[in-house]
Amino acid sequence: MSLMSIRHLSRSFGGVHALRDVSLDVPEGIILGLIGPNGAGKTTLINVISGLIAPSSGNLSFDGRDNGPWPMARAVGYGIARTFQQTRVFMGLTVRENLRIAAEAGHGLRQDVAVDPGLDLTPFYDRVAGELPYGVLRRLGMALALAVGPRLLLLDEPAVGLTADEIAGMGRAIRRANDSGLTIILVEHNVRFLMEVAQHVAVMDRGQLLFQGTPAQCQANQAVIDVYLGKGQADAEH
Amino acid sequence: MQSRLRCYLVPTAFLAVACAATPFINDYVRYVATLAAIWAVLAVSFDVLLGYTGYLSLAHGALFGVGAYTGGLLTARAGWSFWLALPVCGLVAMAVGIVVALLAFRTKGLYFAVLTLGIGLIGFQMFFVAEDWTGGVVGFVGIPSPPPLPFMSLDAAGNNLVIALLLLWVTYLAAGVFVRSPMGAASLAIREDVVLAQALGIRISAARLTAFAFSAFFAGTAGMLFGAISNFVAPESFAVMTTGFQMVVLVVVGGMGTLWGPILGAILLTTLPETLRVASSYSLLAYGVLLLVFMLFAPKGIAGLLKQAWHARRARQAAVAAPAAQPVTEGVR
Amino acid sequence: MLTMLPQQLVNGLTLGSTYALIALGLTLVFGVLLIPNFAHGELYMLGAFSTYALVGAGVNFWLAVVIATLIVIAIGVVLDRVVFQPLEHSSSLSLMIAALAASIILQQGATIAWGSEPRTTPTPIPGVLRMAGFSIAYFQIFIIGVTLAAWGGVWLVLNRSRLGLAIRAVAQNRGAAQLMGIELRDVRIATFAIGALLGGLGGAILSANFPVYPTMGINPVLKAFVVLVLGGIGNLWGAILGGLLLGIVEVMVAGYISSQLQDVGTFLILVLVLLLRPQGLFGRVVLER
Repeated sequence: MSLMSIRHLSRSFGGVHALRDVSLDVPEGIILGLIGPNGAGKTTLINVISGLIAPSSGNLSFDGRDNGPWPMARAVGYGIARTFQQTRVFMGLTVRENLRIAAEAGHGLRQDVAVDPGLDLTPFYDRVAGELPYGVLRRLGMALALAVGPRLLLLDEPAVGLTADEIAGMGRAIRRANDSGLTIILVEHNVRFLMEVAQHVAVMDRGQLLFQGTPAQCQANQAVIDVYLGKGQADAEH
Repeated sequence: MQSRLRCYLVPTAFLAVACAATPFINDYVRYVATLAAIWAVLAVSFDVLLGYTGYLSLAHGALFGVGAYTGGLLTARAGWSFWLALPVCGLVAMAVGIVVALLAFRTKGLYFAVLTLGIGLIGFQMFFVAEDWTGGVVGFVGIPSPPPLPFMSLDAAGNNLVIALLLLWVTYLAAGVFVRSPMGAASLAIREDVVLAQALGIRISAARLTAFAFSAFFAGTAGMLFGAISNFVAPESFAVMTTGFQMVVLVVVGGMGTLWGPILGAILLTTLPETLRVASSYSLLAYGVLLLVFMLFAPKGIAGLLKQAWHARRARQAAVAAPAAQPVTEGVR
Repeated sequence: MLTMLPQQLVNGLTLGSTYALIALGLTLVFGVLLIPNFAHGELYMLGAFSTYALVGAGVNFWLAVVIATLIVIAIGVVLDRVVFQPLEHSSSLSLMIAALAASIILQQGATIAWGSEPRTTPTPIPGVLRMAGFSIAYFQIFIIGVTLAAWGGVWLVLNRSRLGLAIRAVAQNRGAAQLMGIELRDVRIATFAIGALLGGLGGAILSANFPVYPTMGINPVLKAFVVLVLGGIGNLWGAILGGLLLGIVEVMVAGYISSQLQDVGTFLILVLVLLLRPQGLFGRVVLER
């Protein structure tokens, strides 16, 4: 069952073609990994899906309804939540206040996010977000997105800057969220992490969708190896 | 629940004490205190927009004026009672404020401030131009004083002070209700990070419009009371670079976003002698310097400094220090 | 009625030169440095007062203009150093409030020093050119000429000099510019100085055509912002053309409708544009910090 369909999505910024005729089906309940070299258009795609920017052409449909490209407010209404590559949380407020805002003021369908053991934010409740270690901030960003009570969660490079332990924890949190039926699209540079977490992988290069398949198929595909994995393996080795 | 009760109890206690002290202070102090209370009403409600929602509006001086002139028209010309006119003036100012807001919120940041500055200036011009309604440059004379409160045998000055304190009490409690509500949480989110707020499903327009309307309503009531106790208003009391600017100073110096800080700011700054009706160049210059100094060295205002001192004292008293967490080492934005 | 038109146009272009020069300076400082400089109008005002004071002390007008401009550049750099640089990493709201404070300080300082009655400096180029149906003062021609020259000068600096290249790089992408070795500090000082130069020069020259008083900077700055909203920030063409156009519109409104509604007319235009096309006439993104 396809939760979201993307058809012929294109987006240009001046002379730069960030997205070129991208079509993709996202089945409900999966974890879809999105990889590709820098400039492949992964974040642009996330931005379009979440409604942050509009595509130049193409359309999307969510839940079978052909609703076309949508602004962010409407996307959240449908149940699409996201995190940001540069972590966005309310820096000047405490963790408790951050979560309160997400729960009370926004779409706030999930009230129990704060005590989610996968995210383990309880020890930091009264700390101001701006003082938190990077890894905790990332978890808070995810918690805020989860508090929206989404049906589709878009994670933009969740593992960036995390230690090995923190990455494992993030993987567990993602799987746990998916267990309860949440569909997740995951953009990542850390190929090893992504291959472990994702059930389905889409590879992008220069704005186009190059390949779709299971992680194993992806790693075996020559075109993908040529374009990305050759470099990616070296990156993941860090 | 206990802190909830405290939110209502503490201000009420202050009100009771202040009212009880009224008969014992002389007329001049009462007058200054009354003006301080009116400025505090302005400051607290303005803080909801500036401190909580993060929008700098310079149109509020004109909204204050709208309340004052409407009050004059209703009580002096149409013979309405003070108590009926008071909320109506608030509503009129709120209606004007909503129109201004609908326009101004199509921009953001500096453009918003400049647009409200322009609207404030035009409003100020209108007070001169609409002579038949406002009395023009001569001013609006003959505004009746507030009627004496029942069950209290107070003279005029004492009466004015108690009414002003009552208005401040209502304003402060209302602001507290707003801030603790989902709208208040949304306003806070808008101030901190609008994009994130949107990504969380927060309705930006509704929240900030409500904050603006709230501050406009109380600016209007403050204006009406100001007219009633002065028995006279003139356009120069509602200029942007004086009144509008002073509101910013009160909130910032008092402590943005705290609600009680601006009350301190109002009390402290109203005691500067020449600001009582129309600010002179020297006091305005002092305000400007004060604002700049606070912005540079104490951006959280007096409230912030007090809170810092309080926490420092608590930390010294604590027997065991909590383990320090890692500071954020990588840039997160 | 229409016989007044050429005269109105000339007056409008002169008034518009004020707006254009201020808008040009503002678009640089706001567009490149993202500094919400409320106090920009006060630089213009100080240029005017400095010229007035120097001329009053017997200095030749043209020399006074040069000195006044230099004084304003110095004040501008000090303003940046004292007010904006310490707050570099604060929110734009903090910057705005600080700028507002600086604006008030300068206004009230000038009021205390000179009082609030308007002053005038005698015209350095007296005489009027009489044409068919209207007359244009030589000084008015000079003002319009200076405005166009200023625009040309800024264009040259931005597009034909290394400094200009650095400025444009910083405007596009701070981080990348820094990585390429561009000294942000130098760009900052230079941009602010150019902005101050434009404001101060404008004030200096225009002091001989319009009355000089401490709050004279507020209105033009407001109009300049209207120009920026309409034309887009960083748009040199938009700043100049928009400013001149606005001046003409205002003079027309004052002449044909009512002088009391002059400012209202401008804001009505702004309101209409904001209602119909919130991203301005040229669709430039409103830069956010």
